Amino acid sequence: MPENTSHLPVTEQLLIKGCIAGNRAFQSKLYDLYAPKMLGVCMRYSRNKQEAEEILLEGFLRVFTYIKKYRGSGSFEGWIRKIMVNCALFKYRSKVHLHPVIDLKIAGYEVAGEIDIASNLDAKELLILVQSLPVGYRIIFSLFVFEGYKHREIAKLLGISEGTSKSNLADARALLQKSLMIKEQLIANNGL
Amino acid sequence: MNEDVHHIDNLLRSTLEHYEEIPSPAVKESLNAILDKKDAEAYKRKYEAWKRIAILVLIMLSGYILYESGTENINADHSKESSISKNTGIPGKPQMQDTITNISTAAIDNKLMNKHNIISTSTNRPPIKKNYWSTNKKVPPKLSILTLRNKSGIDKLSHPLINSSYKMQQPTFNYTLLKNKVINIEQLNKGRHFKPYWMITGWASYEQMNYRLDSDLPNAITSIRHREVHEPSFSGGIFSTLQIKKQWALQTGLVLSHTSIGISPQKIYAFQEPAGSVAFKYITSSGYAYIKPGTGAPPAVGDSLNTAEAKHILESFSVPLVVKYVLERNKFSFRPGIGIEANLMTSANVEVEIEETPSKEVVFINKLNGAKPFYWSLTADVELQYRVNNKMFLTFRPSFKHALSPITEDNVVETFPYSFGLGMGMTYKFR
Repeated sequence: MPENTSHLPVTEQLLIKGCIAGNRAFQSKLYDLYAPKMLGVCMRYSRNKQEAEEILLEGFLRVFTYIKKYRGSGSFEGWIRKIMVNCALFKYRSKVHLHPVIDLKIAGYEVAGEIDIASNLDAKELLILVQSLPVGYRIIFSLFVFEGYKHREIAKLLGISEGTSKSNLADARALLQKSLMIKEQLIANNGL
Repeated sequence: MNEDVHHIDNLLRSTLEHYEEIPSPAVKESLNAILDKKDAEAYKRKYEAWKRIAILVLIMLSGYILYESGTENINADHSKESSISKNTGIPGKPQMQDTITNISTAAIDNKLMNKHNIISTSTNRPPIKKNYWSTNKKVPPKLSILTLRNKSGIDKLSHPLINSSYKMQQPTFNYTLLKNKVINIEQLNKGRHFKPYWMITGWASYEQMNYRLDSDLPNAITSIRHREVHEPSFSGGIFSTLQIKKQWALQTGLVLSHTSIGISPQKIYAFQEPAGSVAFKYITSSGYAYIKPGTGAPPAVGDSLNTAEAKHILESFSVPLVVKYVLERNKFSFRPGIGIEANLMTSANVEVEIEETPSKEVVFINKLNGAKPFYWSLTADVELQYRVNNKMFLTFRPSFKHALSPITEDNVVETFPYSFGLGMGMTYKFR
């Protein structure tokens, strides 16, 4: 049993205990409880649902294998989420081709003015925009925006320089803005 | 620009941070399949260490026994040689003084001497030339010399060595006769004062298992008997026997049993589990389990499912305590025994194939509900032992075992397994 899980709800404590004992019923319940949330996490690092499910599967296998090592220091959900992110990074690490530092002005990106289409796009459409980013941009953007990592941490995690991390994040943002503008245009045209 | 940047970050974070999506059922199926495989591998590895230790112990024990037997033979040969050639100064030539001393210290009683026509003939002792026999030892004054009485009743100095005392050029004599007498005397002495000793037996046995089923539901007994077929099973272990009296012994040890049961295809039905969910109930003579196939819609109470043939494995450790009666005749000993066994069920699992899923899903049940981990049984056996040498015995062991308490609780049937076995092993005597 983890060192300190008293802060966790009783159901989670029981689930963890059951999973440590290798009880398949408890493993199934844990999966049912967290799989939808974790698939949402995996989707942000993958190109499509199929890839996200591959990460999810690998992630849950690791969860069941290493659950006895969960110390109870943070939230259990956060621990599982971290495993999923690590699985995603492991999957794409070899495929990531990160761009060196570039000047956005030289690259000729036009940064849009005011973007206010949040109400016009649902979560799924926004997710597709993120998934459409090149893999390196997508990972750095997700780590920075959704996981709250600093550039220094991202650089260490991916084995790149901080500058490359910043540059790639800026590129990702620019591409997303561009995509949003196109979406806005399409919505506006359809509205007409 | 910064505002837009933060705006897009916030927009995406707030929208996608709590985004959830239901994974396709295939993910859970794959996860279950991988976990099943891991469970099966873990199960195989579970007793690997014990198996290795057992093999190592057997090898070491065999080595020790072989070493001991070898040492004993060498010592016996050496003592024989030394008794012949000791102090002669001439290899192969016996020394009169040693031979006589051995005989005199063997405490020959009159009864035995009369039986074998052996008399004390110290008066017939011929003069011994001190300088010839030994330079520094004298013949003890109460020394006895053995002679054989001839048919005419006249005592005759028959010991060739004694005769040869006058002509030592031919020192060969009938040593075997004397040696046999000494051994007989030693055996006689041992018989009078029995000392308890230990024996250890390593054995393996082929077993034919079966069971007696009790239930208030006769149909349950019939259906289980109809679909379950006992396959050849095996057991093995180590027995430690304490010979407390000449004819009584106590035996204990450690027995590992592996029982295999084949289960015919059957239709199983969905029930509500105590936890509340609905699953298909798979019933065996040793317990039951709830099965939830990974594919297809969740079952409703009363739904049915066809299963293919299944394999049911039971494994247990047993510790017997047996009282044995010992009958010995020449090189054979016959040791019937009866006692009780404490049995610890270490695993009861079923591997079953579901027929109705597209990919023929295999479900591995590694824990049966309603199976008792501990039960008692009555055991009876007859050990037939053949003495290979003073320490080693070849052992044949027909046996019978019947459970005194059921191996199930809260199952539709109460199961009392019994078995007939035919085992073989080697016994080593520590004495």
